[in-house]
Amino acid sequence: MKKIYINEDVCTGCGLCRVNCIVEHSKSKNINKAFKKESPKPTARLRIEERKPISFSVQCRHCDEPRCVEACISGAMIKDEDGIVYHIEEKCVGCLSCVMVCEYGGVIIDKDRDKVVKCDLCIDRDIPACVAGCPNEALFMIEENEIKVTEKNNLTGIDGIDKMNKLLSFR
Amino acid sequence: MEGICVECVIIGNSVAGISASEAIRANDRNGTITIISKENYMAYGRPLISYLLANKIERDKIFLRDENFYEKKKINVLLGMEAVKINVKRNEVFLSNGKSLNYDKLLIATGGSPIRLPVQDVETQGIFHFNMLDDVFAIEKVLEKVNSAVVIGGGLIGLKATEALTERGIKVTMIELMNKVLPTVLDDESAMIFADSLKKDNANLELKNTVEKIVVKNGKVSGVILKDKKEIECQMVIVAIGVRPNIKITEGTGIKVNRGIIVNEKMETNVENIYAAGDVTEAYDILYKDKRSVPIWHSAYQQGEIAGENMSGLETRYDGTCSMNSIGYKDTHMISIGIINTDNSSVEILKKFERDKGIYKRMNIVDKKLIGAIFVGDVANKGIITNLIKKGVDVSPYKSRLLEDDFGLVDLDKEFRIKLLKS
Repeated sequence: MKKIYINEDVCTGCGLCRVNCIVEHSKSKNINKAFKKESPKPTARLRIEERKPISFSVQCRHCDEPRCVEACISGAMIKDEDGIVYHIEEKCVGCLSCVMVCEYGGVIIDKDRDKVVKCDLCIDRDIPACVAGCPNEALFMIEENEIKVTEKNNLTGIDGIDKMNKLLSFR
Repeated sequence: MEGICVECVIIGNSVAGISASEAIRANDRNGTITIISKENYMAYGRPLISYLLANKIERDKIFLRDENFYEKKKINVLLGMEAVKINVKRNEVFLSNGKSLNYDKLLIATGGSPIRLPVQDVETQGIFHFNMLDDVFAIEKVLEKVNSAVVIGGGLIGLKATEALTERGIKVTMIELMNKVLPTVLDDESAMIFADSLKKDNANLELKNTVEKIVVKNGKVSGVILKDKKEIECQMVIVAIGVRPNIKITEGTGIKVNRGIIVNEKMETNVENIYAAGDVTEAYDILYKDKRSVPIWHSAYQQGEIAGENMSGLETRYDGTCSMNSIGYKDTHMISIGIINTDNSSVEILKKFERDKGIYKRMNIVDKKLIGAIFVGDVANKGIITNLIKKGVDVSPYKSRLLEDDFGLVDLDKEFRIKLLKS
């Protein structure tokens, strides 16, 4: 199953992933309306951690053994046959048991609605909005079993040092 | 398992029973699975009953699986049926309708039952427990005639019952024996924030107190008299003084019990072919390093899964449980993990308390490892902390960061983080 990964070293902390996620999950799909008009404002399904110079986005890992699915008291979290972990809003009561057990902090509290939200891998799109909008290609989609770790302890989908250097020096 | 038709019988139709049945079916396409359900409903989320009473969830959304779940998984579910006796020699379970079922493998997932007050004719007098769907329906039937209610017990169930009743416009007084609410999972400071929240909500709280007598007039509750002689008028009493594991079914079987059924890491009891999972068990606790009763939803799911896997021939082992609770009262929310109150003199305690903001954080550290934590107010991403506690991670490199609002994956050792994100 293809999942979203991030290369920390290439992430600039610009926050565009978050902006694109909000727009994608808004009613209007329009950045101006999503941010200025829609109420309550749509919540991003990812969060950004930053401690300069490190930054990276964190979203649901769609785990093989999702703790959130195990802990959910209403069956609002389910893992479907396609491997995606879905959150069913009408069944969510905001107990935050999922938040308590997600080791990544991948479940986001939606204070306006007293529920949670999380990454749904943008199933209606070819490429998730955060990945598509990342200006530095820090975010990428790759098959789980193809993900690699570089010598510098970075996640990468790219084979070979040349390609990596090209990516780092390009911008 | 070709040619062998394994008969699995599961006593209990809540989360442990359901997750066990799914694990069995995933490993064994053909064996028979029978679930014996004392209640008359499809499996539902028991902790949802307070949200149902508060009108925060619709009635048809409380079920754990789709309506065709049992059919799809070829599970024979017997609703409104009780298992009354097990004949271990003949591998037989006797049911309340006089019939019996044979089993190759038996799972006891009977959960727990509320501890009762020694009062007769409980429901007709306006006295209720708060444990089952039927309790909510019974309460709703009489709610219109209720102005004020007393909730006996300031634990997890008592708190949620109080929240639901105040949401429905009832004036509630909560009576708790200890010196604070949620005494088993909170400390003094965190409990203060909840007490503040109750007060702001016009719910009364009586601590270090207990109900000595329930006053009944014309067969109905009219008030309570407390230990300190205080009298409180009410038309409803909710008894939420604790839950006991349902171990009655083990009588005459030789199954080893303490307060609950003792299980090993495969959820086996000491009797061959009999397993147990969920709130009825005492299983290994990672932090106490001993077997304990830890009746939480997540553990019940995991134990059910391990039991089901082992019942269907897949040898898996349960790493162990640890106490963890996520609960809220109106806008005040807490997450409490691990060991909170400890006698261990070498525990290092880190605290941050901003009572007026409703914020509290506490870390208990022993031998460089986090053994417990409480968060009130800011509970975002605390699963990261839960993982550190469960894995016994050495937190000394970032101990000074643990109480910070923006503590996160970025504070962890990069190798650990990358491994975590990669997996």
